[in-house]
Amino acid sequence: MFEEVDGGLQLGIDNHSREVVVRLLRELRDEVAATKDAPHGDLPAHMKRLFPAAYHADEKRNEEYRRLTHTDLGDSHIAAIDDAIDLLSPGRVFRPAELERLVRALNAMRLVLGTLLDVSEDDADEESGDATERRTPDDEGNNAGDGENDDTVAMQREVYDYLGWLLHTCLDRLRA
Amino acid sequence: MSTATEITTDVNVDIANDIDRPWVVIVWNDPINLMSYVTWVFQKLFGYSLEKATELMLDVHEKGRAVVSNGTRERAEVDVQRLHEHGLWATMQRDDT
Repeated sequence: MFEEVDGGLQLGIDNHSREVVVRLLRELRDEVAATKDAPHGDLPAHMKRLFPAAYHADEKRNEEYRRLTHTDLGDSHIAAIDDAIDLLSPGRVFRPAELERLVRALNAMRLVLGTLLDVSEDDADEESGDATERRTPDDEGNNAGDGENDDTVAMQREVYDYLGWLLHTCLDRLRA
Repeated sequence: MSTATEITTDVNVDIANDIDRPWVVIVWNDPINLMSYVTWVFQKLFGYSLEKATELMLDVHEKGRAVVSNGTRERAEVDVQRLHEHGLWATMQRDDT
């Protein structure tokens, strides 16, 4: 999936997959930007996953922790997403170390999507812990269910699985 | 003067507690994060070997949680924040052991 070009790396994924991932990253960026200053209690469940509690069973300290770190954490997520969108530009050549930012952003998007899909431990076991089999968002239309909602869920699941494969492949490259 | 003395005493008590009972940072299992990603984060943030990071990741996966670092409250807060930046479900608490 990675080509070595001019001393750097180029990501070799098809344009449709690239566009889907970039579009979702932009949507996630907008949502993080819209919620990074919001009270934690007002966040939807899928966004709370990006802003976890820090203290075990101590809500008073959690409130203080969030007051001090919530905006910075949001800015950190946004910075990683911006870098990831840049790295996904067609023809972009990057240093292997820059992959770390892409990995972080892909994982954040996968966390949000997995929370929306209510992914459980059983789902994780079915994936044998890691995504090693390539699936692409090109297969979106192949899992049509009984209704529009089923279609949407099937499409989200395809993207979720694709992100897992992409993330796993990037991690392999980082370790190389 | 009296107030200052009381504050100093309280701070000393807190410092003594911190020394006696350090804080631990715990990473909890979740069904979404990939095992390879969790291992990579442990290596990157704490400089653990692949063997040590994998052992901790398996503790998280199989036992539901693992202590990944310990130290002062300030150090634990920094570690928790870095883990949150990477999407791991991490909390901190005083060491019970």
